[in-house]
Amino acid sequence: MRPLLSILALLTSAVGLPAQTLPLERGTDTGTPLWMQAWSPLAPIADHPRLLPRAPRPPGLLLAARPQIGLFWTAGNPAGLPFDVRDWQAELRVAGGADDGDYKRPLDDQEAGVLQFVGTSWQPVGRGAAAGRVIFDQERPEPSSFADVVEPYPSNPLVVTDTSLPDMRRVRARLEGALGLQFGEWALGLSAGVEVRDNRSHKARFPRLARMSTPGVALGLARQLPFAGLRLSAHGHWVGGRESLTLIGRPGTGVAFQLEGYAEPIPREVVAPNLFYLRKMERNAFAGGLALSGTLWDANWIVVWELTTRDEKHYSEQRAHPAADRWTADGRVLAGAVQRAFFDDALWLTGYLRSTHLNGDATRSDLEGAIFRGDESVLLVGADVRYAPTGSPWMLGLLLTTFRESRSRRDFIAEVRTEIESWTPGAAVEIARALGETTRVSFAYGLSYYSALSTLPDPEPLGPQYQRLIAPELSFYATRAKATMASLAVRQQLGGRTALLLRGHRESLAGRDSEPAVPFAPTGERTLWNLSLSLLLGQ
Amino acid sequence: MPARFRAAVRRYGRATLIVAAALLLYPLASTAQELRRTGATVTGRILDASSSAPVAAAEVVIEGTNIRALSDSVGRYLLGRVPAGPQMLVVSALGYARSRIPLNVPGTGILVQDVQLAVRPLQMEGLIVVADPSSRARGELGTASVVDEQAIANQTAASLQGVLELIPGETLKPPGLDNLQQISLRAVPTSTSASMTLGEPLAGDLASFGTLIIMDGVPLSNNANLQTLGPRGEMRITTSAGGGIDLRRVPASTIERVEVIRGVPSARYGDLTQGVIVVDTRASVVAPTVAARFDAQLLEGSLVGGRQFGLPHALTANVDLASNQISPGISDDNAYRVSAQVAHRLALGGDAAARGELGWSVFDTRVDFYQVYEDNPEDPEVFPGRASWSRDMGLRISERARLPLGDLGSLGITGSLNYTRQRSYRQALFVRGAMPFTDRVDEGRAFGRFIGGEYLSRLWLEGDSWQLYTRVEAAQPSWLLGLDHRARAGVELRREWNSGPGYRFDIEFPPQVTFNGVNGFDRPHSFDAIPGVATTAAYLDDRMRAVLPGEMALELQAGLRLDLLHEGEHWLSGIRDAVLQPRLNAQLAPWPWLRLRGAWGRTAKQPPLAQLYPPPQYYDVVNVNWYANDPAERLAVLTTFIRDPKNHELGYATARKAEAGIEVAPSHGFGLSLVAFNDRTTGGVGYRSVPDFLIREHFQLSDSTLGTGVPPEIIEPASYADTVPVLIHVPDNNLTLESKGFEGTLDLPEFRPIRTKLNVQASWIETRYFKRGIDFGRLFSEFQLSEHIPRSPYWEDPIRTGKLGLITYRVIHHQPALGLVITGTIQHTFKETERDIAATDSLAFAGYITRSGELVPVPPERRGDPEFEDLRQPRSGVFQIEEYERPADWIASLQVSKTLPRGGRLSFYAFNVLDRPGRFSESGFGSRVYRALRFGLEVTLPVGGPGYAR
Repeated sequence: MRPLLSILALLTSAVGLPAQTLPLERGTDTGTPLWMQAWSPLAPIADHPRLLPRAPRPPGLLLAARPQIGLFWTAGNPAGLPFDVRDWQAELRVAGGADDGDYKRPLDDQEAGVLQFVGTSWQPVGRGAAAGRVIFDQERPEPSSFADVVEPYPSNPLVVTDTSLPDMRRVRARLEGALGLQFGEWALGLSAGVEVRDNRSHKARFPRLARMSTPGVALGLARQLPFAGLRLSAHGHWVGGRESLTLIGRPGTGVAFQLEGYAEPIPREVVAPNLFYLRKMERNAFAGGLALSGTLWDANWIVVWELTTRDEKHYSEQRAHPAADRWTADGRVLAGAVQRAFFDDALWLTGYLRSTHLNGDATRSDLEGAIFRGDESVLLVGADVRYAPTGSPWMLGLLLTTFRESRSRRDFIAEVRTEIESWTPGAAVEIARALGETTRVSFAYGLSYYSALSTLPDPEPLGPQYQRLIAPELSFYATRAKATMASLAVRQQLGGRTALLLRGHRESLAGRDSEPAVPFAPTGERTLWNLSLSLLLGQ
Repeated sequence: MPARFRAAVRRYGRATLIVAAALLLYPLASTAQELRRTGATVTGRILDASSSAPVAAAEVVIEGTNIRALSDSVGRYLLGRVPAGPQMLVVSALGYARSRIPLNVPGTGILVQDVQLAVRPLQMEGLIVVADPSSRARGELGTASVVDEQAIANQTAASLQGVLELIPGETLKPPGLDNLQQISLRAVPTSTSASMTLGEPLAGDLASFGTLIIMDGVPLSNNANLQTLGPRGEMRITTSAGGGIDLRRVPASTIERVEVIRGVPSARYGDLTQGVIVVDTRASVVAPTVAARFDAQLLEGSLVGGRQFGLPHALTANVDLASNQISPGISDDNAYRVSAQVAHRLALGGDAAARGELGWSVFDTRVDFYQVYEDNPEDPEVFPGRASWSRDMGLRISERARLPLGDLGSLGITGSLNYTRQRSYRQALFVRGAMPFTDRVDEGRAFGRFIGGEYLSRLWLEGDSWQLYTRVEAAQPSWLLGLDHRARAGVELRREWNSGPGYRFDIEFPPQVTFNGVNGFDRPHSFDAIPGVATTAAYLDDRMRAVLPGEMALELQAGLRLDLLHEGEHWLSGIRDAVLQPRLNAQLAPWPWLRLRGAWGRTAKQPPLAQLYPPPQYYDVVNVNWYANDPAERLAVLTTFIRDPKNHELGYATARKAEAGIEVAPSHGFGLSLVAFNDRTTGGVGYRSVPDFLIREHFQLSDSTLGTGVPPEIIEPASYADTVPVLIHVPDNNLTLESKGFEGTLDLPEFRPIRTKLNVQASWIETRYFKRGIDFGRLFSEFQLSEHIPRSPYWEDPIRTGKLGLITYRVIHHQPALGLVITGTIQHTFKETERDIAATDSLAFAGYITRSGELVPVPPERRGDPEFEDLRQPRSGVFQIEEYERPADWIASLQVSKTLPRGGRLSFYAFNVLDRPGRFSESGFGSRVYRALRFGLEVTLPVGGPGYAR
């Protein structure tokens, strides 16, 4: 009876494993399961970056026995660390990858290669626990895209572009850590991190320099209640940041376009006497939330509720005041997860859900009222099933996900409105087998289908830059697509609690229609491959 | 006996000399005394941090002394007669990271200090990652900051400059090798505009030139750096000439320890005005380690390792390679550095791996090589014609011997030969109007040519500088008059000289444009013709300790130093200048947790070769300037005059330094240090404009009809002659730099629940900088050329002032269990101003110069008289009369270090981690501009076996 009730609970409760996902470059985020990233103090707040459709990632049977849920792992509350972390684990990974192909948006890089180092660790410390992660990577898009800003497809419509496609070198470092301490029934936690980026063109006639610093802090408090394993927690989370962009004019080069929605942008020539084009962006985002976790019928569960707000100011000069453009957004998040073991821990079921919604307005200092408004919702529902029968060399993992996005965006200057509602159901299966005492191999395959209902404006009257930079993106999201993933992994135990994990990963994305249904629709295929070698400690 | 030497004797008085003589004699008298010592006993146990098991055979040393012990089988150690005051306990053992523990040693009694050793430094309790303000430089009592290898590793610096950011008063700077790096202790750079107008160095340049850098016991010297064109060159090469050593040449990866003596150094140190930086590179037994560092601009790799061969020999090698893009994405400018050191230690009859001053002879041999190469290729689209490169290469061989002499103390002998090869090139497009030109290199009249239009000027500087350095020092502990003495007496000999082709350029296309018909163009100048300079120094220094009634302890360090600058190239030649430098440091500790300190002293810095032997100055007076359309009909006649700007009176710059301080350390981990200082450097070398005049002959022409196809001829003799006033730029001891302020450091104990501690450094510095000289203004050129202007005003030079207030907060989170150290640094600049004190109104002139070069002062009360109406001109030049204040602002940096498996370390650093641009002044006048965000990663991996560790 109990297992049945647990499955019922799994299916009916809201489950939210990836409380937040990171907008990492496609080439660099294939090695870390989503549940290992959700605690990040740098997770974006009140922002829905528009991503390329992807197949679900492999469950990662050789990396971890099962996903983790809890106040720390799911709600991102560092006060949950003493409850959620009971053992020591660490991973040091070096990876290389490449992403290229024509099936893309105008502000996606044509081709990009990436080298990456990642270190992740968590362990109990004294009366609590700590977790930390460092990422250092270098991406070389050759050529890159028209986008000058670090994140070209956020919810915010204020994006700077230009007419060049230089080779770029992007260096990023991300450092984050969390510490939670338990004091009797109470727990207190702090997590902090910073991501810094340095993007520079390489031997370009129209040099492009961008830097970004994104600090984040989360503070949490948790209380263990004396019944049903309940834990109640509250957390506050801030992510700030500063991004600066410099375009340098050289003889005969350089036109910048500052997109503010769907209206035709004004060309800004970067030539003498204006040898520099500067753009500075300051961001502040806050989230405050509550979470409740507990155990019911041997199943661990958690529910998270959060309110979010975001304020971005864009300055046209390094020191201009007040801000030339501004984006403000408010939102809410509801997430949850449930996890239960069956058959003496041979079968693990994990379900999760995450629903986020935001409303945002863009304004300009020279105009009254909003120039652009966005109303966006994102829903992710998934289930993770892992089966490792006792005494058998085989393991099986199954991941089922559904991703729904609804974006309503209205430009009051151009008097244009777009509505896109998309669904991306997907599944991934992974089979692993032990070869002897120390070696295990696995193979995974995943598939997802992207489809959308859209209302798009006629691009003809909207100007050449709209047709060059915006219409192809909207057509991309109005086009049905199929994404696949295949992954092969080998794990070699080195003795004790140390292992090496070698993974190869390939993804592809292509349209499903033989004839494009809308103008400017993408064609061809985009592929991504990644090869990584990890040193696993404590496992 | 030269006049300056006699003057020096007069200046310091016979009493000082008598004291000096007494100091010299008394240690000899005391050698027969029974050697007794005072001090406390320090004891405790050495334990393994993870298992609490005792660690046997650990070496325990009081840093900078010969007090040493080995732990026994239960980990117990005992150190006797440890001097009272702040001491550093250093513990090292095979297979463990070295531990440094600050102690407050009482005058008498027993101090118990247990020590836990960890395998990896980051897992060690009490790890010190900031400059330690309470410890002292070895053998020194003056205010000092000590930066040890763990703080250096945590700082993730690319060069010595990054390490020195840990010193109070130093601003945070981005890591890398982008620009010239110099340090000026306790001085604030003052008005740049005034310096440019007057052609003088900035206060910071002067102070950095006077900051002594000692590397492995041998002073680095910029005295013979001749990469400068002097005041006339318009195309300049970025060089450290005239300022301090370029710190880029010292990679941080090779540094084991840095001591910065900001206060009054002992008499052992000379050739300085602003302080001493003592750098020790790694030597003896060092675990072989490779390190790689990567950021968006810098790629660096290093390898360091040292091992013992038998007991008496140890060999150490460091190699560091770095490549630095200066403006990636914008230009192809690059800087490269290659650095390598080999160190051999021979401990005769002893252990080459042991630390401290031990009872056996030690011979340290070092070979040090570096090359810093900066390449700025031409970008024809942006700056056509502009390109430069410079390549500095150095090789230094040094030998240091320490010979124990039993009860007589010890003898130290140091010798080094330092060779620096400097090669620089710069080209630029210049435009000048058609003007008469002569390439005469001797005096006399000649026909000239007309040259004008755009041309590519190319300048090569090719020089070699050499330094020979020797020191012989005797040290002797003794007991006299109730005081425990450690006396040192020594002699230093230095010789520095130059060679090489020098400045090379085509005279027709010189690296200057300005030519007014009187001032000529510079001529190529060889360095081979420049004589060398020899200096001799003798010093006596005594550090005395006494335990007074109660727990009170008194320490004195008194010394006297005599520096001699010789007339000729060798030490047996006559004396050109001499400076006696008494120095005194005193410290009274009424209780072990309180120390009151005071110091006074005088230091001296010798002038550089470039100013001792400046090149001759050329004046090309135009006699005939007949510029016809037809080039064949043009005629130019010029007379070349040569003036020698050498100043035979040029001598030492001297500094008078005073400071007083207090240190409070009531409990473990808490420390407060406050120091007020007042430094005054006089006689810094600047240029004095010496008026002179030339005779200009005017000729009539025989036939000036155009269209003849031939030039006219001049009719001898000259129809008439007039005088042309000129200024000879003579190096002179005319600069004065005054700095006063305070420095403070507050160390708070760790807040255990979150394993976090706070370190605060504050500094306030005010600088006044002025020249004893005359400013002739910018209209002087008009006066020179026009025989109708009978006189021209002159003014007193301005006083340049600056103030800088800094507070640096360092929040250090250390988790030994995780092997993790996070250091967040916030530097708040709460005050930064510049101001020139100069009168600029029409009555500001101080006098006038006549056409024969005579200076006639005019008293202030007569400047309004009608006869001086022509002199009442507004003063020209760019002076910062209004106070230029940059808005208060702050900047943050971050360093994170974490142990890796097998003893490795991963470090992350981010300068200006929040990428703050700097605050804009609301008044619109003055702004703060911070250097941009820069970040990177460093991985350090040991590659040797456990036998290397200790």
